[in-house]
Amino acid sequence: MPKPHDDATIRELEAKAKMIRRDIMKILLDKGGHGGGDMSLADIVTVLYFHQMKIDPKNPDWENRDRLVLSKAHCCVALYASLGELGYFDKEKWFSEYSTNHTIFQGHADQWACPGVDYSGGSLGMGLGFASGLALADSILSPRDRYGAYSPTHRVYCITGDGESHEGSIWEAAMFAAQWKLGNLINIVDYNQYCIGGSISSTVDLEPIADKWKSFGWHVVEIDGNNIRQICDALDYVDALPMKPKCIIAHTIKGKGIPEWESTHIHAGPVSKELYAKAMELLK
Amino acid sequence: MVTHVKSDLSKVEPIVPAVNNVMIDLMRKDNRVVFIGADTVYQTLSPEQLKIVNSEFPDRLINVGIAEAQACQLASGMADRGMIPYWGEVSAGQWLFMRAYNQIKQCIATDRRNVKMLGTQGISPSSGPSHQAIEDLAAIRAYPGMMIVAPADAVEARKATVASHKYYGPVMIRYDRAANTIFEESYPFEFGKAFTVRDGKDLTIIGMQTYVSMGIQTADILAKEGIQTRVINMSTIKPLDEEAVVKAAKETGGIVTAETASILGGLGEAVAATVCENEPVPIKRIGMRDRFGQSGRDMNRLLADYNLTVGDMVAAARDVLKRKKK
Repeated sequence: MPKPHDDATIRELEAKAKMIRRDIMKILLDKGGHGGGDMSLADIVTVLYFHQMKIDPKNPDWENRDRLVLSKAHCCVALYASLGELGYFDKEKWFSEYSTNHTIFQGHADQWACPGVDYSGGSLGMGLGFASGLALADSILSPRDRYGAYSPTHRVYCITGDGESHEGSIWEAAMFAAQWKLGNLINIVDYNQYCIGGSISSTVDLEPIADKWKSFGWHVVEIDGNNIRQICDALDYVDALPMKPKCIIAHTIKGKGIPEWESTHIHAGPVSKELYAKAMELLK
Repeated sequence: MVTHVKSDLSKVEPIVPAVNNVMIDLMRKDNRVVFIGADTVYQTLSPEQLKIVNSEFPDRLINVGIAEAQACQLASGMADRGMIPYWGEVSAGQWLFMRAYNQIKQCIATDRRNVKMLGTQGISPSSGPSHQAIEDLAAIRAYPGMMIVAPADAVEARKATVASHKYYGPVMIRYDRAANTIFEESYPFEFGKAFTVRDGKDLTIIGMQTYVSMGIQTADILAKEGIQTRVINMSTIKPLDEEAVVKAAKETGGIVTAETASILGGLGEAVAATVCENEPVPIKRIGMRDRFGQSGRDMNRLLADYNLTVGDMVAAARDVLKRKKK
């Protein structure tokens, strides 16, 4: 059964997303990172970790937990911020150690080093294929009823970037998942419209992106990916759909929450003390 | 006294069907074993074998289509859930792994996934350079933690495949397309252990795959001149049995390596590096010398074109012996 998301829950999640963004800025102030993408997917990660996913921070390796495969792994600061807030590790330790020597908080999150991380990424375009392996394994390992059907023990969420959707391996995985009817696989495209070199549309256009996913055999939903209520609604909606993989195209804004970044579509870069102070005011 | 080696090496056994039978056994014994193929899986299995697999474990033979990157990514995800994926390019060739080289790094090697990669060797007769894997050893050796095995005959191929199931971690097995015979069933295969198939004190040939039997033929020719050649089956390319290499260098004073791959980054280079660091002796490497191959239905002529024959091994041995005397 989907969890209810009444107004109070939505407000709570919105506040949590602001807190995640504050933590992202705190890390970026000291260490730098991929602020644009972290900010664009902060709302999605917030809803997944603090509302939607079946997880147990006290038991990170729980076999039947929902998984989150962050294929665009350079945006792992948003992931760390959520995991730290949930208590998978000491958040203060993360603030001081992120991407330093001998740390569990690698520059691209390492699933074997850091509790709660479900996928070690870095090289783009591979997360969806990995996620399809998790989903297929579940269908093989789960008992079948007399009609040959099975009930998935968990959901596999994958967050892919629009830029990495230029990789052919994403589409190899997309075809495969549809062929094998991986109904517990949910791909969320963080469609913030920009890669390092400029807009996606002027680089190699993905449009019509919804039609592409539909034609690859996926259920497709389009939402405002920076709107908490729409994210909640979409995640509940796709859960109720029959056995086909699902793709949520989340229209997001690169650098969401920081006006200077929203207008410049920043991919990565340092955060000045002035910008940090301003961001902390805006994200109160 | 060398044991476990057949006295009659003329009755050869093809390797791929033997390995497929092992795969079927493994799938029967362990429901975590899945066989992932990129289209060519149906070429690899015989119709009888395919019938068995389809009737006994239809959900564990996974054809991803012509999509090697997805084969690798999928295998990684399934291994994360405790399954043991065998990603097989047994019929098509080892070269296909290179289509997913970066996937192998991130999805298998970095995370030390329990994925097995099965392929066939480099110099194939009819398909030309696109289908001849000469680079795979150099490429995969460069990734930390990868086990690389190239069995010499069907007996060793079977044993290596069974051993890969017991071993936790990534293994690449490079089977020979040619049919060979070297070992008795009693042969004790072990990862990382070289095996001396012929002892000698004047020179050592270190080979893999078909070059083990060709090494024996070379030793027979040299024996007529009174040269006693040690022949070592170095089926595990990585981790290399450095002890056996250094021992051979110390005891015989000269080494010829032979492989069905480029001499750049392959077995020969691994042996040469070990020798240089520990016990420098003259070395000559047989392998593709920084060239691409071409098609050729006459395999012997193809090997001759690239100086990969027994005659070339004899010449290499003489060159090493000459330099040894200086």
